[in-house]
Amino acid sequence: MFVLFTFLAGVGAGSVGALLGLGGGIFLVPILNIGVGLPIGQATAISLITVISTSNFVSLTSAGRKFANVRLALVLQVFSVAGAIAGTFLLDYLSPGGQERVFGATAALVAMVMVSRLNHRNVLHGVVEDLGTLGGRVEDPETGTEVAYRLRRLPLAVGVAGGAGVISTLAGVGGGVLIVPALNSWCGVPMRVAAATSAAIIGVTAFPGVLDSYARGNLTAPMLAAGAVLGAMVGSRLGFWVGAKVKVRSLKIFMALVLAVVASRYLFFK
Amino acid sequence: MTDDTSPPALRGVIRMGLMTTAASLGMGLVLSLVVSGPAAAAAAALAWAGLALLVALPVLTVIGVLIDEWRRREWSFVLAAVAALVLLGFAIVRKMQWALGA
Repeated sequence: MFVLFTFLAGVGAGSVGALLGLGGGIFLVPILNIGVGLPIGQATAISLITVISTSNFVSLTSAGRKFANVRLALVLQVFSVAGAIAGTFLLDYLSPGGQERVFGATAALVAMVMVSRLNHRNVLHGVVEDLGTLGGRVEDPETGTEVAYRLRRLPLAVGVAGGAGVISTLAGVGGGVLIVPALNSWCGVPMRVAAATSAAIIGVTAFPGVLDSYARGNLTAPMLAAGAVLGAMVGSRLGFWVGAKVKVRSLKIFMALVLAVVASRYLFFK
Repeated sequence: MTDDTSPPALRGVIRMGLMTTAASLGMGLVLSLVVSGPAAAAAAALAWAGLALLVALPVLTVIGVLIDEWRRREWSFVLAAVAALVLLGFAIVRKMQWALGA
């Protein structure tokens, strides 16, 4: 029964994760922790494994291949993994309650940023020759035309990636909750590119957290993890099917609402 | 300008890894529902094998990108991939030391 429940939770987390470029852990951790009754350590461990599953699945989809900026992901991975390793050190000193409040505040901040930048497209119109080393061109599915973007504020993106790595390990999430809004709102990357690139980053970022969870004895229920991973695989496909039918503005509003709910959950209802 | 597609060989590795993971996890789950006793250990072993392969995929992904950038002679991105692998290696070694110490 618990396995079926984690499978369904994985479906939900995987679909939302694929839809928004998140790992989906932001939903899975509370479900496993409160719904199934797993200790928070075990819930975050299983969540991080599903993040890896979602990340790899997204990289195989047509949207993932078309929109992900592989080189930007590679550069940011270095800093997100460093942050994730730092998070494993911090876990020795932070209480679970403190970690949850930090995460809740971060999610609330990001939701506000997303709402304040709803109509910002981050594309360069006309003939653009210099996109920089980490810029790119993609086809805008809404208009059918090719749009260009240039990465701005690389140091900011690097800093956010590092912070996302820390959050990933501490809260058992992919870190996309930070990376997607930062790339989109502050660094000039279109939403779909930010989501696909984030998906490529979060799988690698989750790796140190999974190892740490295993070493701490938090990964002791392989069948629950298997149920969640298989559910996330099904959910990822579902999320991309839905994602192709919604517009960027709707995607941003939905993401902001999701983040607000998660933030209030961690800040006021825990 | 960046090439916004992942290397085909890398996609093949990820696809094969995910399919093997899904098969291993699925068989482990089904077995765990229909068998008991010593056979249940085999079901758990299948699930563990699937999880281990899944967790290894990010490392394989970075190695794939490293090989691709090496072929393109984009040394700055080769350096980034090596840095990522060094960090992932550090995480592995640190946890192995922890496990052995415990």
